[in-house]
Amino acid sequence: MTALLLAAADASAVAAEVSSRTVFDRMTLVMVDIGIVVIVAGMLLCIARLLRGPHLSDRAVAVDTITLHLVGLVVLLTMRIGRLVFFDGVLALSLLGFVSSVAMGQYIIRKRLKELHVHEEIPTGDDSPLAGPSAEKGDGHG
Amino acid sequence: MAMVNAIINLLAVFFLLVGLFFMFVGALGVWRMPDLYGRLHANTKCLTLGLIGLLLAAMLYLSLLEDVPMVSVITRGVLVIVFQFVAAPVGAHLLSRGAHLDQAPLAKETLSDELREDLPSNG
Repeated sequence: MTALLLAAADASAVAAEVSSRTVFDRMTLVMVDIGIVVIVAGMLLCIARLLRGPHLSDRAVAVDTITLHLVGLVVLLTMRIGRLVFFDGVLALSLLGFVSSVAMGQYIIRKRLKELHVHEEIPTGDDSPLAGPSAEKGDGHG
Repeated sequence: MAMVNAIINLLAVFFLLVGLFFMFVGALGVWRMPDLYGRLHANTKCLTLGLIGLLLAAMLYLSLLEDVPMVSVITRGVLVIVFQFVAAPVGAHLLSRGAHLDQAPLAKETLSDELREDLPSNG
């Protein structure tokens, strides 16, 4: 009985909350519902690239894009439920995407340098394979 | 008050549509581009324009609700936007540098690879 009363009170509260929204609020919420579908479709495209990608960095880019879509999905979810409980997850997820992207880049660079038998730290001098074109050397081409 | 509500909601829907468009275009680019560097380009479109559109829409719409503190919404939204703008070039640069060092396959339409020509012979 108590549970029934609680459920009835909850339903009436939900009805009052919904009726206090204007027609424009409802339009925005319908657009949010459509947006969730669009973002999930984009995530499916990224998953296809993740499964197919010929190089490791292609997969890393696909995972990075999936993380971005996940951030967008959490933003839309926050708009949908109208509370801020998930909004901190946006910050955490964007941080996670950045860290995973940097880690994948470092992993690819280190793997390549190991194949090249460069065993010290990642060199940053002018004679390292990571260095860009240097002005004072210029011995590759005149 | 109803007028302000309507205007803010219409702005939120506009930014939401812009953000969703760029999100989907970015995902389509990640799937369709022939090259790693093209895919990174599409990823960056998705990141900057798409995410900023969605966050602006969320900030506008959530600041309308009474039981949500406006300051925390705007603070977190601006924080995420600034962080993404700082962090995105670092990750993309590191990833593309690693891929170039690892000789990721280029597209067939590539005309020249000037970084490969300028590097000293790496091994």
